[in-house]
Amino acid sequence: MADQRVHGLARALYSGSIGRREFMQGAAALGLSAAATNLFLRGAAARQDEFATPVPGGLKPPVVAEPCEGDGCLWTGKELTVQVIDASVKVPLDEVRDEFQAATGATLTVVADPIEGAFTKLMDDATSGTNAYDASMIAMQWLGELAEGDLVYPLDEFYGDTSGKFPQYDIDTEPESLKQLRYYGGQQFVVPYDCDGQALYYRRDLLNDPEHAAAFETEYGYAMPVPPQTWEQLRDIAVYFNGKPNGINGDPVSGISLHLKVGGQGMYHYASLSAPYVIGPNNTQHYWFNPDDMTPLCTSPGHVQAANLLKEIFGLGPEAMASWALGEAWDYFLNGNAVFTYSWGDVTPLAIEQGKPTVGLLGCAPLPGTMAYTNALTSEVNEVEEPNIVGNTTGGSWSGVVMKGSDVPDLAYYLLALLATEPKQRFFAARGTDGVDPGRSYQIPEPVGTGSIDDYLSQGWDAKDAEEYTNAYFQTFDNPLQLPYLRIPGAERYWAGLDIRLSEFFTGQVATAEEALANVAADWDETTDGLDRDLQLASYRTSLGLE
Amino acid sequence: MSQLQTAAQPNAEPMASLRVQPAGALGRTWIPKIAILVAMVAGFILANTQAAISLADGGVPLSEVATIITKEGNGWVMTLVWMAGVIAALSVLVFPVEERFIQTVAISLGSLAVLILPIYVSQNLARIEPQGSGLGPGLMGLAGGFLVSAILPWLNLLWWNRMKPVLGPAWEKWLFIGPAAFWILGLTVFPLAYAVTTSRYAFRTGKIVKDVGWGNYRKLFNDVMFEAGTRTQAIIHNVLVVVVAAVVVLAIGAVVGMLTDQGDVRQSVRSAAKWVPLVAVPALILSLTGEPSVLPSVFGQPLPTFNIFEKDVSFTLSITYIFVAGAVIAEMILGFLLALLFNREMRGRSVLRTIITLPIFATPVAIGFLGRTIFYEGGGPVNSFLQMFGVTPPPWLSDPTWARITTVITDVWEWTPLVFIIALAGLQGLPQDVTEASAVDGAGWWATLRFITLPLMAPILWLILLLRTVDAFKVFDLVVAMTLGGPGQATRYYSFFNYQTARKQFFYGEAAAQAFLLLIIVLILVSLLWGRIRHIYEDQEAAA
Repeated sequence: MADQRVHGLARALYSGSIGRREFMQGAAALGLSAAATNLFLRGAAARQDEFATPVPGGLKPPVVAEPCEGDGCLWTGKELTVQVIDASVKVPLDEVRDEFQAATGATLTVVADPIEGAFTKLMDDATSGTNAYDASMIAMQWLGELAEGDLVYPLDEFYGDTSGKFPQYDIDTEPESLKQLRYYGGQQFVVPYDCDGQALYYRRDLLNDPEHAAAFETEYGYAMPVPPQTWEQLRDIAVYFNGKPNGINGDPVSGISLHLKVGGQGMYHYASLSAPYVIGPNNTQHYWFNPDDMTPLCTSPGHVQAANLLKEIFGLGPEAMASWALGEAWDYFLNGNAVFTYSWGDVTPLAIEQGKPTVGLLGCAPLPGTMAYTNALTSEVNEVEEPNIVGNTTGGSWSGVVMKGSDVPDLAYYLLALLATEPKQRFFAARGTDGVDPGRSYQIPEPVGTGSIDDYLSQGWDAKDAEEYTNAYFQTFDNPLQLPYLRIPGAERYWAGLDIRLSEFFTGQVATAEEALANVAADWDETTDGLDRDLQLASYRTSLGLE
Repeated sequence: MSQLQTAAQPNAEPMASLRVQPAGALGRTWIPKIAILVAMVAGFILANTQAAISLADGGVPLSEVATIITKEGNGWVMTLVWMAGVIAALSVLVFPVEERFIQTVAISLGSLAVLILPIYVSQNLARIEPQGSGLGPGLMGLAGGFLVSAILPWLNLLWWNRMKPVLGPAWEKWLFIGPAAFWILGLTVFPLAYAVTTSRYAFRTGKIVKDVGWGNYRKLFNDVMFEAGTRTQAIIHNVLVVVVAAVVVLAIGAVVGMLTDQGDVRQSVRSAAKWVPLVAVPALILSLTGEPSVLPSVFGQPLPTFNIFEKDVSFTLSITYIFVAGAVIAEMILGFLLALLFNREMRGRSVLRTIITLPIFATPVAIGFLGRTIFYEGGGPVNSFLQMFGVTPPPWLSDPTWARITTVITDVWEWTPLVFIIALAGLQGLPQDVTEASAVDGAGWWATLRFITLPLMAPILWLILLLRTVDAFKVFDLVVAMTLGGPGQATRYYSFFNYQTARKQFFYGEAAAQAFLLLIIVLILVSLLWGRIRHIYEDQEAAA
């Protein structure tokens, strides 16, 4: 218990939600020694981004729900408890509390759990019958476990209710790639909230520098493409810039900044990068497993090629990347120390929010592709005329589910629907630092989407940054070719196997990509057998929409 | 023991009279025991061979009924039933005759607790098996067998072998032991038994899917038994590990004898022989369960090893051994040296002593976060310090070997003060007259340490070693805060690995089996250390 309190205290300090004085008072109450307290305070300066739970400032999100009166307060005296990870996506839940309580007559409690243990707590709560959580903002990869375990409430009935009981949102404003994540087995289980996907961020100033462009062309024999269209081009550009002045303070710049700490979501880098080596017009689905027998496909030539390339570009950043969490990689890039990073939609907004030296210098584009991909089932090599670019919805796309054990499922749905309304979502997407990233059509400015650039400009964005950023995400989500999303039961274990084995490869504990991916395949087979191969096969086919 | 004997020797210790009891009396003692055991075994056999629930066309076996009950969240029923059965059976065998009353109570209560299963099934028949027509011969047999075993001990106590007093001698002690026994049964033994029940199931989406028997335990063992070489080579290697460990211990004993014990090599080797099990058994465990690629290789390439465990299990065990050995040895040496340093009059001693002990007052997870901050590669205090002197800092957390070293250093930082405090208390409690006498005799610092301090401190040092060894095997907080087991699984020590299996991946059955493996390994090591401590006390008592 004390450990959690120290943990929470440290997070609060690192996020800036409490000051040094409050931290010292809290630390003294928990019995932390003076030396330990002092080291925490010093550490806060070095690692303030890792646990960032930004405190919103400036503009407030629009109020959508009207306060209720008398019999119009349908849930007077009811209590609603919502779980969310202790990160930026929790900010809107705190903000909406007063509005929600005034509109429903109910009381809202938001429980913020550390990301490392949030899913475990949710599963414990649901499977033990405790049912303390009425709703949760989940990562989409948890949905298979929750839906197949009959732990979440199907929402089709609520969504179809147009009586005015619930706030309205249009799920069809989401691109198909994201929308299908909200469904499982043909039923809607999720109310959209966040849209996650990885895009490429690059130093626009460096890549557009004519001197660098000329030198690059001399060295590599082709004009530097901005942004790079293939991963091989990205590698060449990263190699070229690695060690050159960073264009800000003259320090040497790294080719790339990635977070590859085990347990720190580093394996998503591999998934996004490897997609165009495996997926293409002739193979739109077969990436993870053979849908006939659940044989892992990760040992296919395309996967091997991708793993080798990722190891190459891993060598173009600091060795410490092997132990970096998300915040550290972002911080390194946003301070101008790397030419590239590829990550989620938080990068540019963070630069603006934190006044980083790279504001106005950040280009954003869909992830590069390949000039050939290898069908993972048949090993057939397909060469393409134009770069084979594959979209992705990599990440949590944190969104709301109503728990089956809730005694107020309609009230839970009300809250989730309120957060999903268009006025709020336009605000959240443009603010960026609340972790709710854009993806729906009205969050993308015209002419690409139906939204307005003014939403972004009013929150301090550079117009060019906003345009590139939203376009990149539109193209990523709207791409008909998508990296299939792994969300079957056991997804956590499958992801962990990939994470660990790739880290072993990147840090030299395993010599070759073939060996590393063979280890991944062995782990996945063991997991599949442990969970019952037939059941897993059925789940996998369901998740792909094959059944 | 008979009434006659008790009457003839009213003040005699009953157990003593039992030792000389005639064959007839032995029969009177053993016949009831055998009858009770037969009733139990018959009930057990019937339960496992006959249908537990009767159907119109056949029946449902007990294993299926157990799975249904456990799946619906009432795993406590099966756990309580088998645990009570085991306790009842053991109670027949382990209680001495003078504890006949409490033995009767234990057998009877245990047997009655087993009856919970047939009662539960009959009351919930419609839910467990809607087609069931009633209890089958299996559960009826179980009920009958254990009903008999619940009644028989009372008949024996009150009629067949009746004695006075019925409660036995010194029965009052059970008023004190009883609550503690129930406490241990309820809060230690029952959870452990529940873990055994859990370990027999496969889970999916956090719920039981099916009974896999001992499959989760079999899964711990390796499919490929040998990392390299043939079976014969591997077994020879394992034997060699034990032999080499023993020879090394004896050789060290011989060298120490030549150097310090006035050349009495034979005596010194005999002393060293006491240490052989303490080194050879861990060496055998290490070679059986460790992974060659992690363990130091003598010839520059992995030796063939009879590696009995699954690859990840043996890998995590191997790095855990390395962590435990590295951290505990360093903590013992540093802590004891600091204690020696502070066991004298010096200016500011109390202040310095307080400062040294500070780390143990912080929670381990806080120490972990501090460790991560201190060894942070992008400008942490240690790296900044090293760079001031032009030293290229090592990749503390991003290199597999350095990450292990960093976790060991952080653990040493946290727990050396514990060794220091206990060792210092021990040193201050040593009789001064002995050390003063040795000084008068002209003994120097080393001779005093070697022949006076260390022997007198031995029980305390071994006890600290025991505590730290057990605790180091449970290392968890540091890993969570510092590395999450990485890079790769370089610091995925066993407790963290076990936690991930259960709490991150929801493979509860597999995790329960993994936990028992660690329990067994730690128990072996603990019993070795306890054996050593007991010998030391016995030696000291004999010397006194």
